[in-house]
Amino acid sequence: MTLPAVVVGTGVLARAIVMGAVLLMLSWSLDLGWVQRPVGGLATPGWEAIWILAGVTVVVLALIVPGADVGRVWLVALAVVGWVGPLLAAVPGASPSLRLVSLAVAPVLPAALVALVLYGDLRTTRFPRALVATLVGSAIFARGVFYDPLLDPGCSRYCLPGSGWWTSTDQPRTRLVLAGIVTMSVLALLAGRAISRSPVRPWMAVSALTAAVLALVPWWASSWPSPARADDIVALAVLAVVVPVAIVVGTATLRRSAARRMAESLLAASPLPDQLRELERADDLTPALRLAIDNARLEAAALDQIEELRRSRTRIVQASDAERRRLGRELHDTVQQRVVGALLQLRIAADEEPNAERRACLLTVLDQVGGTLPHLRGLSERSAPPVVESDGLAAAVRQRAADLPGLRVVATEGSEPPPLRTSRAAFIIVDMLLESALPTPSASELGITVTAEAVRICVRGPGVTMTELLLDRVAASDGIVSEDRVDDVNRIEVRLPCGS
Amino acid sequence: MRVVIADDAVLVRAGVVHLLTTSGVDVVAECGDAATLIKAVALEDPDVAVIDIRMPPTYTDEGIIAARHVREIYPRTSVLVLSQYLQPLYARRLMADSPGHTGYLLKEKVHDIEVLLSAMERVVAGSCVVDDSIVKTILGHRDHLGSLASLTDREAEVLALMARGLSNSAMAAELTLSAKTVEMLVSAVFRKLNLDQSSDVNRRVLAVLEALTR
Repeated sequence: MTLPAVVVGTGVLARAIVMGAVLLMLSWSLDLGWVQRPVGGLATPGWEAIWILAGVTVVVLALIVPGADVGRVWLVALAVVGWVGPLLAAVPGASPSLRLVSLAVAPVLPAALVALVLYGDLRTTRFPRALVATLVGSAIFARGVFYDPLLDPGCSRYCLPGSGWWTSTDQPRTRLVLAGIVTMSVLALLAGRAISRSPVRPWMAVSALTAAVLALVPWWASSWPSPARADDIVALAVLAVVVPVAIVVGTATLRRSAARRMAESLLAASPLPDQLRELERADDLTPALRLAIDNARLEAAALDQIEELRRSRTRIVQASDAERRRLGRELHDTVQQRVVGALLQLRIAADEEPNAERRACLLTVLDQVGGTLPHLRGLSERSAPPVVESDGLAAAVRQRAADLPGLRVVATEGSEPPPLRTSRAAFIIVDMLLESALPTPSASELGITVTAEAVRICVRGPGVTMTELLLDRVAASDGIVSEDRVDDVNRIEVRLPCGS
Repeated sequence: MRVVIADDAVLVRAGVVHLLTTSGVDVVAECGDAATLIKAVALEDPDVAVIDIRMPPTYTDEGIIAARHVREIYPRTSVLVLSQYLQPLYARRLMADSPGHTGYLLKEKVHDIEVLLSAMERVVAGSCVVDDSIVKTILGHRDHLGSLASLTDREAEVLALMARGLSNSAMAAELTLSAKTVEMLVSAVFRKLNLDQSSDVNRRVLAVLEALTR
């Protein structure tokens, strides 16, 4: 049963709130002294950002383990960074630049936790992504605004003195803006990952870049000879983070949109097997399952197209055969008749011609014209042999082979003749074999075997060769053709089912 | 000789009529289809009907059907069927019941008035006439045609002449052999082809046709 979207969204929201609260409460209860001491040892002034960057790099490299669910691992890594970062700021004597960095990375913790809790929904559902993104953004923003590491160096994660955010830095607006930048960056990363569905590397690269810039820019600004203005820092962060992220996301979106539009147009024209239509309407399909459904749709469409191509090829062949018979009838009914009529008129003219020379000329013309009749007769009979219909395939084949002295013909017929269409197709194939595949008739043999199921045609002899036209013609009649060599003699065998 | 011509091709029909008329043959009727032919034969009682094998309405084998009908209903009228097909099976169908007074000739031979007149005279005389092109074509292929392969060249010649409806004496004259030799050759042919030996020339033609079309 498909639940209404509002119900699904409400369920997601409720779960996020409950799970997020549980995780944050768990983080409150931890004794952070065993973490803070070694972390504090790393917080040598001037090297804080380097350590953070190194830590991020290690985490990124660790994510390249094959088979890992990269999304979840990355979110865990982000949560750790968001958790450890502020601890560096709480180390006594930490430099202002380190504190500024901690302001940048601190909001990542709640964002990562919320995203981790909702990770399954993020990957399977559609509309709640906007809701999840809103939750993540809100969490990041609230964290960035309300958390001050100097007031809460690690004992309690969430003290919410209202004035905290005014006092922790000389540039409250910077803090606010940096929190906003991180929010946008994380949202963009999540959106880019969702849109591109892809190879992790671009996403990881952008994530690493974001973390590095967020760590380095404030640290670098703090080393300027003159105090950096808040606007400068913000501008640098925006340029260094937001612009590349926007480019990556925009490119992925455009690529994905073009691919999606093409896929959607293909899918719109493609039939879907009945048993998958009901499943397709479900709202809780994973991307993998949806891809499988799309593949099934495309496969069904491809099979339909193949079947249509096969039917089209058969229609073309039947039309060609019908045209061939028409030509044969035309040759017989029209051309031959006219030639015979012309012969008669020439004969009459020759008989009535008093001049001996002219009479001889007319008789010569008569002989030449008369000489065309056997050729016309052969063409007509080969195009539309009436004997196929009147006396059967074997008789037609024997008559056709009579033009090739020396060719041995062996014909075996069953009690029932094959369908006329099969006989005609078989005769055409025999004609093609004798015309193009048999260079030396005198040393060759043609065999025809007719049974209730099929017509078998076998030709063997020196130099017997298959041609592409023969292959196509047999395939168009749903037949099978094989070629082999027996006793140093080539052989071609064709089998036509009697239903063809 | 009184003749009825049946052919749907006007040019051919006019040409045959002209040639026969100038040769002294009395053409009593011209027809363009099988129905008109039957009426003309009933009305005119000709000696021979020269019939094209393909006529309206179906243009398949109306001529053979009409020829057999004429032989059955009007036995005094001989038939000579003209065909553009080199079809021994058509000839066999034509002569199946009564080979006498029946002939099967390729249409391309009609311009040769001597051949046409000869065939007409022979069928009127009661002979069975088969165009020798048919026999030659089949015998040219005889090497792989079962029992025909056992015939010698001379025996094949005798077989071809028998298919044309020649008597023993006519064959002897044609082959410049003695009558005794021809009789021996005919016997050998019948023995090798397992045919019923008959002195009736027309039956011999039918038997030969049956052997050639097996």
